[in-house]
Amino acid sequence: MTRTTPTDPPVLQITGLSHSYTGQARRTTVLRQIDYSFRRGVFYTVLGPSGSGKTTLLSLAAGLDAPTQGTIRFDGEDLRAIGLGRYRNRHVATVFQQYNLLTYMSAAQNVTTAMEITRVKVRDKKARALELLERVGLDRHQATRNVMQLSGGQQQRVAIARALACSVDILFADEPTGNLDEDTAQDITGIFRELAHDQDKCVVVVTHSQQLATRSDVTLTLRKGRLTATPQRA
Amino acid sequence: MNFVKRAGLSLVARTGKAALTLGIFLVVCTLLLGGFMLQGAVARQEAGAQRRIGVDVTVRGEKLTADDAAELAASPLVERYNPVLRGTPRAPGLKLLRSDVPRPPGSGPQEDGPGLTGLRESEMLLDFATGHSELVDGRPITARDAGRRVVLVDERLADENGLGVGDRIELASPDGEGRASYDVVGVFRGRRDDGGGMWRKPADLPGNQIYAPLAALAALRMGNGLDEAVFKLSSPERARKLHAEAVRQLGDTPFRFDVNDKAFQEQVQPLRKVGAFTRVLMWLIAGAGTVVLGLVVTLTIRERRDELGVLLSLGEKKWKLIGQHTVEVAAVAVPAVAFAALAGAVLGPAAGAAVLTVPDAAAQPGPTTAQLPPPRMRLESGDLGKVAGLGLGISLVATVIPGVGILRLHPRSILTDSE
Repeated sequence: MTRTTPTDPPVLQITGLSHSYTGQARRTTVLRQIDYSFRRGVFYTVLGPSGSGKTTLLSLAAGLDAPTQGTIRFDGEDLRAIGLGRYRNRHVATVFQQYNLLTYMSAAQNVTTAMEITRVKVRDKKARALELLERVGLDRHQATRNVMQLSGGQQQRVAIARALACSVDILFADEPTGNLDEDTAQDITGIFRELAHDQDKCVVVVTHSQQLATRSDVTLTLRKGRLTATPQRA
Repeated sequence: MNFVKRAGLSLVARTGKAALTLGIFLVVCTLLLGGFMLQGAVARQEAGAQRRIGVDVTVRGEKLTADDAAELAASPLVERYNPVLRGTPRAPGLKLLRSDVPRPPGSGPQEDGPGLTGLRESEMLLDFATGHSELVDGRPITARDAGRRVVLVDERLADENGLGVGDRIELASPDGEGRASYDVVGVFRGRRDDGGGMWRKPADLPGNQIYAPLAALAALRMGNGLDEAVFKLSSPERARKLHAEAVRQLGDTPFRFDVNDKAFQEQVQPLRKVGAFTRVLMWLIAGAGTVVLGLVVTLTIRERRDELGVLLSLGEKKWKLIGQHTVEVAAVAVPAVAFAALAGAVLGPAAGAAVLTVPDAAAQPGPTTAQLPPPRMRLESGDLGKVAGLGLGISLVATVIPGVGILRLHPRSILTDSE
């Protein structure tokens, strides 16, 4: 059950977004004139064939890169004005397909480190990290082990717990269930839905999985750099 | 300061790499510390040589006066000086030594007096400085004796007249009109050269030499002129500057300006060469250390691109990423400096003895060589501070330069390569 309605102001507004890469010989345009507004409390999935620009769209929306053309606004303010680093630090969190954890730390330390960097105001960061890890299905023993000693599914849960710890407005995830077994993928999808519907977050997941897409509120499809939206039935 | 905490966790997790960095740092710091200790030893040795040997400048001129010498000695270039005036007074109560060889006919009028030298400091005389003369009793004449009627007498003259320290002798001007009494404050053993078969008048016989403060000779009417003035300087460079000052001060008055830096060159130049070589070597070591550590850190940064991308994706500031690497390297530098200090304290003296051994000055030919104490390398807190500072500087340079690469990193290019 989403809390927001289409009349609420968008948390993230993309206008006239185009992006190109300059290779050795030629310039490749990946995204063309994309306009879309993302809202709080909605779970979005972005589908599309390989090379369609899904990850590029996520990277631009998550502030990992700057677009070659167009604007992205967070709560009405241009990301260029906010600053990409500050935007990433305060407003968004990203879960990567390859987990991208800090390999010399335990699961809990990965989460507390993210809280320290994003300056989350929590009195007992370790307790909060254990709580979040438990929420994504990792017990205390697993939470205190080095992340390299955890399975792929467990590492992905750590990455999600880390994203949750940052207490941000938007959560981006790039193929978060691509390397996971079906049960774990289901669990993680459930967490995304819960975040959007119970905590009023905007959740945007890039995926190839139609199954995951059917559990989202809105499915966006990227094809040849252009975006189309398909609301799912409730 | 979460980057400091991250640095700590990273160091604990990467003990192998930390040990490699520690090893490199230890080698660099030990070599640097050795260099600083060597430089310190060379500097102390050189200062000692300058103080003990120095450079003698002798100024002679027909119109050179004690006032001229005093004015030139007021220059900050001059460490000590000695105005010298020689004469032949009469010594009514003294029985003088005589040459063993008969006086040849036609050798001029008999001047029957001792050799008297007015001076400021007896120790500055070449014979005393080189050990050809030495005190056997009493004390030398010093600057504090100016105006006091005191003398040093040769041991043979003292024996001939039954003189000792505390006795008094009487001297008079050649015309007999000036006359004064002098207290014997020292007896010295002078040169034994008594003429080599040639006749000498008593004043020229080494055994008849008497030294007294220059100002105390006023009563003997020997005049205000000087035979020479000797100035002790710390280096030949200063001698050149003093010459310019002498030209400016003495103006048209003709004078001779002789520099005796033979002993100085023999003793100090090898030390200076060692010092210069050490300086070059230390810069090379510091440069090589910086390059090697820089390469290690650069490789580490390449290996840790994913980690940097994760931290950047969380919005971590780039200077904190550089800070983390700097802390990691600096944390290794501290124990390296400590180990180097230990190695320096244990091995330093032996290394110094091997490197800093100088020729035995006493065995060198020449009149003004003096024996220097053996060089010693020792660990000083200043050297340790310099190594710590340089070590920290190396760690900063070695991390900040590769860190420029971090500043150019883009999290997207690191973390998302699936498109």
